[in-house]
Amino acid sequence: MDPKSSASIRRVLALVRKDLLEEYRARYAISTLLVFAVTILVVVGFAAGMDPLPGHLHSSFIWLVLFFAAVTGIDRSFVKEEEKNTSPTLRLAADPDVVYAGKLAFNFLVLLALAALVLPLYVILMNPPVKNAPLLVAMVVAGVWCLAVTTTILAAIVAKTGTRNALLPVLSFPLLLAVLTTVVSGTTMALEGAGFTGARQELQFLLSYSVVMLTVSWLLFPYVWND
Amino acid sequence: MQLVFESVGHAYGERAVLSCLNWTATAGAVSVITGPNGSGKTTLLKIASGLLRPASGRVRLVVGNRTLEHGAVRREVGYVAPELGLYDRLTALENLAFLAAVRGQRQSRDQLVLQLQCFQLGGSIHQPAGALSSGMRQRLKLASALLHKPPVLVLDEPTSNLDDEGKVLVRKVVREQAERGIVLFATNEPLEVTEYGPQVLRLHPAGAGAGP
Repeated sequence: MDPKSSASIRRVLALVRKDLLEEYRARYAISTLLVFAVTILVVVGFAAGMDPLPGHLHSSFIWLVLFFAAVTGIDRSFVKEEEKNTSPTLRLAADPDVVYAGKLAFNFLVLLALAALVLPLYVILMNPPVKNAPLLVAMVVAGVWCLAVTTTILAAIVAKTGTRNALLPVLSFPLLLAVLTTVVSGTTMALEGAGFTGARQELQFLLSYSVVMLTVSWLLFPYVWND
Repeated sequence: MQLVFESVGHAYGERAVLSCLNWTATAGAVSVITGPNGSGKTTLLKIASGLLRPASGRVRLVVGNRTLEHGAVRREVGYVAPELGLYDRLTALENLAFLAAVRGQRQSRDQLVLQLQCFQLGGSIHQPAGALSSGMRQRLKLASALLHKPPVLVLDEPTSNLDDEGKVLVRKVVREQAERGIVLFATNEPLEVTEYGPQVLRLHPAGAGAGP
């Protein structure tokens, strides 16, 4: 790796480390996300009772929890910089691409941690039939990555507005609708025992979506962040 | 080295705070900016540091043959202002280490501790920034702003929260910086205006005007 790239990675890692350290000490995002996710799981668990649910309902519930948890807590990554007036400090110190990459990596890690907690909890409480666990994990990782890519740029935009809390879910929904229907379909396939070949279209769509969204975000972010 | 303001103007909605300001701050002397509240001192400093894009005109930093504008100026600036936040959950040392790392500076722990000691924060390196007094936070901001030895130092009322010892420290920092670069020093203290002159920009609420 050339020295310039490794220097950039070190700067991104410094930002991720800072955000993780703040999160560990304050628990801004994870507590909001976790309380939200567990509440929905318990309510759904009680509502379903002992009746077995079909696979597509299980996958819908899993992604409802992850989607709403994401749009509830992820905006904190930028909002906290605005509220604490540290965004000018960060703008003076770091290039926009470093800030974007660092915030995206942090949001992805937080959502991944949430999925790692929610998914086993869902399996314990709801007992869905998981027939292809590796595909289920691949779907969750791909879906969470798409959620992180989309909500990171939206969170940066929303942080600059006065109506922060209300805007992120409203803006996220149309952008993530196609992702949600695709991951629900892919997750249903994983629960019902389809192979990776059967879910190839879903995985290809998620990959393509994230590449397009990442490119657009990368181009847009300096304008959002600098001005 | 020069920081050149060319026909700089800015407004917040209908309220114009700066209009057609032409002014040059040069290295080797302290450039004092003064004027009553609402005259645009902070706006001017934000524009100078690249944090705010002026509504009209431009600001150029000329260093030898290089000319930098707006976003590129930002990396060359150390900025200390009341509205500039610190990471309250991180300790003083972690704040400094983070800002150095994210700028791409490779600083050892000893170098960072030394920097904090220079600003009389040696006893508070492991205290969260949120637990520091306003005067100590101001010192930490100064230590952070000067960590990368910027050619331009922008100070917005830097002595407002400081005790006498802190004010002496600021005076020393300003003098040292003026020898190797540009210092923009915004203040309303008549004594500071007299002390750091003669390069003084006096702003007026309705617009801007430069002069001794």
